[in-house]
Amino acid sequence: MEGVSILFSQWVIWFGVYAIMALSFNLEYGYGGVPNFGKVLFMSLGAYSAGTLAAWLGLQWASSKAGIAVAGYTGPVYCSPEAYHVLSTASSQGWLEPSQYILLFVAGVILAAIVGAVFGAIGSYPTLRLGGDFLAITLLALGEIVRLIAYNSEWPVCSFNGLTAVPTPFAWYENKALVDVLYAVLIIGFTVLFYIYTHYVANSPWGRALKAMRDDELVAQVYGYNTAKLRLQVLVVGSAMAAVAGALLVFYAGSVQANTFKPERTFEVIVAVMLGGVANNIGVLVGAAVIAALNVFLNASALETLGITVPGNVATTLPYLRYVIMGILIVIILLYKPQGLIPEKPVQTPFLEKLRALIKEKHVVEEAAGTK
Amino acid sequence: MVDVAILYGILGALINGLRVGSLYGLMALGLTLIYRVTSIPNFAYAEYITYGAYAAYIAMTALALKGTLGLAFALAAALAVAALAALASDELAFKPLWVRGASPLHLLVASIGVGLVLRYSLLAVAGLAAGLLEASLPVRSTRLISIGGIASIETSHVLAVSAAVFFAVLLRIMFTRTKIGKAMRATASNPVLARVSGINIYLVRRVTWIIGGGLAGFAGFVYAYYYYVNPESGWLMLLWIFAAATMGGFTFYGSIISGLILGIAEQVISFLGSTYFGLNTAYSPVIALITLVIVLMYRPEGVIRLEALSLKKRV
Repeated sequence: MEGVSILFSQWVIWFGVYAIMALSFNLEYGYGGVPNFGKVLFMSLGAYSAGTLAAWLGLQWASSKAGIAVAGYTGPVYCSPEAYHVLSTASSQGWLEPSQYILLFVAGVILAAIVGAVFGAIGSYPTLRLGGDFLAITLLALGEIVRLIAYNSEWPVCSFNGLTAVPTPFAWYENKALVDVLYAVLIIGFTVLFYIYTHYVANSPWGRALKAMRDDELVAQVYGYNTAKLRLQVLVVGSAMAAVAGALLVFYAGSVQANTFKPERTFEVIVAVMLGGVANNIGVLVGAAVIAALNVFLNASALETLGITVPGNVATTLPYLRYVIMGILIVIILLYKPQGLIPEKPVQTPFLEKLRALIKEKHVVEEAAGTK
Repeated sequence: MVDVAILYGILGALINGLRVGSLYGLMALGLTLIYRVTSIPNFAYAEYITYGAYAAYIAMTALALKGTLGLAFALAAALAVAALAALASDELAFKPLWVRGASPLHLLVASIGVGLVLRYSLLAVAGLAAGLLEASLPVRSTRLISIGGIASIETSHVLAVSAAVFFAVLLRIMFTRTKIGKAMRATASNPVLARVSGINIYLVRRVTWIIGGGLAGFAGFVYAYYYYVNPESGWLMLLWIFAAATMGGFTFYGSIISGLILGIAEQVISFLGSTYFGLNTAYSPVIALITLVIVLMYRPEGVIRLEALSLKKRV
């Protein structure tokens, strides 16, 4: 039973990560019409910055408390085996306080958001010159450049070994079976926050301007919108969200591997958005849940936990099958349901505006009654 | 004073760059043809190359073929399988989408999807069957001329360079002088008008995909003749292919020349970088990626486009 609960919290965590990524991609592509196929680039930047900050700062704190000097390594100091030893035993030895773990997490997420926003602003430069498929290819290529460098160089995340000793926020908690559940609750909190944020932002005047830009850029310009600025803004917001998703993934896994951020990851996000429904935030959540389920449940050990035994032949093909399914899914969606499962809805008037209008109306009626 | 060994090393890098470059050019030719006629930025293209390479390998090993005749048979298998894969992906995915009026971006997403299906089903099969995760033709490329014991010219060099030049000229002649080439250009510029003029645009499309896929199969055959192939090797070359095609402005001669430039740059820069700065050769794809980004951003119409002007005149 414990295995099942871990599995489900794993699914919830992956759902949260994909949901935040998909919500940000929906804001950029679904509402703004900017095909940011470099999603994984911003996600990886967030992951690298959060992971390195947490590992470096955690190491400083832990080693000063323990009185162990970790130095004399050619690459970044947190990549050395001693650093791994110190960080992985820090909670059992009491070198790091629970509050410090939480602080590391908060600092990591905030740094990731800032880094994501800055690089999103830089990444909006190609959108000034390009649109459509060429923009998509350019951003895809930029993501691959970053991954190749991260995979082959000690900076920032210990090349192909990966940075394996990131202090996770609940490492101090004794009941290890509950750690994943706690983290799942935390990530759901983030997801709900981002959902509410995107919902309101998409229904705001700014969201309508994005839609205008997507549908007809010339018309949006004629109506006085600075489309270059809109693109910059949407990429800053979207990239910061993607970077936070990357940071959350790092604090769950406790490690950063450059190869986590292959172009396939971007594609999973695109499938989630197109499956659920472009420019529909609820639909996007559905898509993210499906992709996360494919990711978590479609391997031999997960199926075994759920009580389904698979023959060895099938077990070896299962990890590949995931992408085959995704590929078929995307072609079928594009062919038969280009709107997605839940199509785009007309812009909603925000609840507060509705309330204000209601009060105003009542007021006007009363006033009219009073004057008579 | 520069060491003689380094000079020979640079010479070797140049010669190998010619081979890799003409392979990139050859691959970019098919991509260019497909892009010119159907305007699909086809990310699944690399998989046709892998399928061609695997078809050649399987044909040779399963039938225990040997010698030049065996190679010819393997080539036929590569051409057939890659052309079939290309045709099938068009008939099942791209054509229906195009008929429904999908945007280039949707076609790009669909092509990534098709690529995923092709690549990962090959990976799944290769994971099950023994000895398929890394394959190469049993008849290997042999040395023709040795230069200083370090650099050498092999049969694969001759094959790759001559095939690249031959196919570029052939495609160019086909595109400008023959009836099917004219039909392709007409279909590309205005499908409705082409149809009204009595051109069977679906037939034109099919011919385009068969030729494009066949070129991928040929490139895959040459690749497997020298290199080891794994199910992802086509995908790993895709960005080089795209870089060559965009740098050449999606023209045939331009693709070959840009492919050669990129291939030589890859080999020479990674050789110099590893000997003088100790840089890992794994960084070499960065060259292609940066080229791709710069070309797309500043010269999206291409850098080397010899025949573009003359083509305009002819139309």
